[in-house]
Amino acid sequence: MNPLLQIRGLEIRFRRPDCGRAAVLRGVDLAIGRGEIVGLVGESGSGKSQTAAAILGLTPANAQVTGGSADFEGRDLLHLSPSEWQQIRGRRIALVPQEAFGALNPCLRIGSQISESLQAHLKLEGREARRRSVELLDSVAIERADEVAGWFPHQLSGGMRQRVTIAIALACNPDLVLADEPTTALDAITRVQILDLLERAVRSRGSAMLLITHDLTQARQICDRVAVMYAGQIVEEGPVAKLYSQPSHPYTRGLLRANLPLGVSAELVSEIPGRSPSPWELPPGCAFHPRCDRAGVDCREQVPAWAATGSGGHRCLHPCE
Amino acid sequence: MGRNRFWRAPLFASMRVILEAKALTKRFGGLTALRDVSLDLREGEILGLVGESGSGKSTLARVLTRLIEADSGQILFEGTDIAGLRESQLRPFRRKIQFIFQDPDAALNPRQKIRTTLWRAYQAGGVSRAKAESGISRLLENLGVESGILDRYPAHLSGGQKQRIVIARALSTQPSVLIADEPTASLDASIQVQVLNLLRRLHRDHGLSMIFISHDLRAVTYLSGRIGVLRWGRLVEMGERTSILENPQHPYTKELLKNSRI
Repeated sequence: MNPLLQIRGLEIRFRRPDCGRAAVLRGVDLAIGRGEIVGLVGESGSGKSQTAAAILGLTPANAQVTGGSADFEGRDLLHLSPSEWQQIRGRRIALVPQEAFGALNPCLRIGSQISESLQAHLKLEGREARRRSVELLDSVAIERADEVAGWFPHQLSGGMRQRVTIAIALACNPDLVLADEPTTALDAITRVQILDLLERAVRSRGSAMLLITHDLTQARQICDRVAVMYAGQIVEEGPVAKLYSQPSHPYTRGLLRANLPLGVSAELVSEIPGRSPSPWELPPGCAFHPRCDRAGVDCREQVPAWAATGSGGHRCLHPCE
Repeated sequence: MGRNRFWRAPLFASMRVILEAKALTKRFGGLTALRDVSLDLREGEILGLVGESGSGKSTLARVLTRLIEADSGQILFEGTDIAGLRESQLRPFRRKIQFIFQDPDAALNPRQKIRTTLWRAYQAGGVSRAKAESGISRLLENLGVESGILDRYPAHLSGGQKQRIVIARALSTQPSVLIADEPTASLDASIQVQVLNLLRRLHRDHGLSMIFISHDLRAVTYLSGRIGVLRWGRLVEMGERTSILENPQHPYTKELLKNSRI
């Protein structure tokens, strides 16, 4: 069966007035099946948010898609007209943003912000849309949903606001939910609740989800598969069970080892030395080699090709056993 | 620098209290951000404070460093109450109690080269230019920062590099107490570990006394010998790390632990 979304060789270049153009995405391949939850994990600057922006047709003005395709049910998302986007964005592909406060309109009541998309996409009547909005609020575990529908965003806590954006994203039963760091702005306890809620909401509707996060632990919690990004490429991908127990790429292994234990540790946790390169100063060969303890001479010269393994794959010349 | 207290031989947490807060209370309008918070920092220990947003942890950091004034309560530094001191009287203590906050961008002057920023810190302590130069290069080496960044502006540094510069500046006055409020929250995972390890090494090698404040229980347990739990402006629990981890008393501590285990 064809995947719901198939990204092939996605390349995006950025322009900066002082340094010229550089590739922030250097050939990203990613497939998401129907009903599947896939994690896209990477540090800042790795390109994970640019991948998401491209899927939503929201690539910023100083960026240019220079190659690749993103096949979504027979349509290439990289070449859609604004009117075609209107049928997809919010209806078929919906976004759960990182910052709920910035995403909600401060001057509109919560209920109207949910009904808006129901009326626009599903052509519901005002009264029906309002009834559905309250149901949606109820489904994201907001108590006294009918009352809260009449509130403004500033009257809600951070956790409740994020629940509202989840309700908005799920309003039209989208095929694909893009969740961009949906819990980063939240406290630890709320974070666990929201992630749990998001997973149940998506799974119960049979939607697929791409969870974009910097946190491998979080991805492990709800994802079926995880892709790890580094310097504009996916460097490893695999099912959760495999990736976390036997990572192939030294970067994945390094991130997992750098996880802090919850307990007393006399030894220092091992760290990945150095920092991620910016697209304007990519090292030759494998972009990770200056930070890698397994790098050989070949890593400095050769860009590793994608090596498919049984259930996933990696980009590494000397993968971990 | 051998004679200076900051660079002396390793020191393990003694029972001597170096910084003590007594019944600190702070209100912002109708909101009580700190209610009757008392704690003591012992010489050579890292005291961890964990709390979620709204717990009052940042208010506490700012009150302890006297960036904002408490409504009532005492702050005793080596026995002297600094809560009521005027700014001029406070100056010698400013060098003894240093702080690092979450956002290094807010802490660094964007129009100053790193060299100038660090040099000013030495200058404020009355150190000559030549001595400052050698102090700066030793500090940077200690913190694992290449000296090439001295002639750059903050905008050209990564988050981790900027936070290291903020730490370097804090250490330049050879403080006895370092107060760190979410120093790694704005950093990437791999860089977070680098900075936490750096703080641990500084503590181990130089016996720096530190209050480490974070929302992240993992980071707090990684660094601290004793841990305090803040909630809604109150210190609801305080104890040795092992007893907090294995035998938490307050329901909120238990909830935090449960959610951090995942």
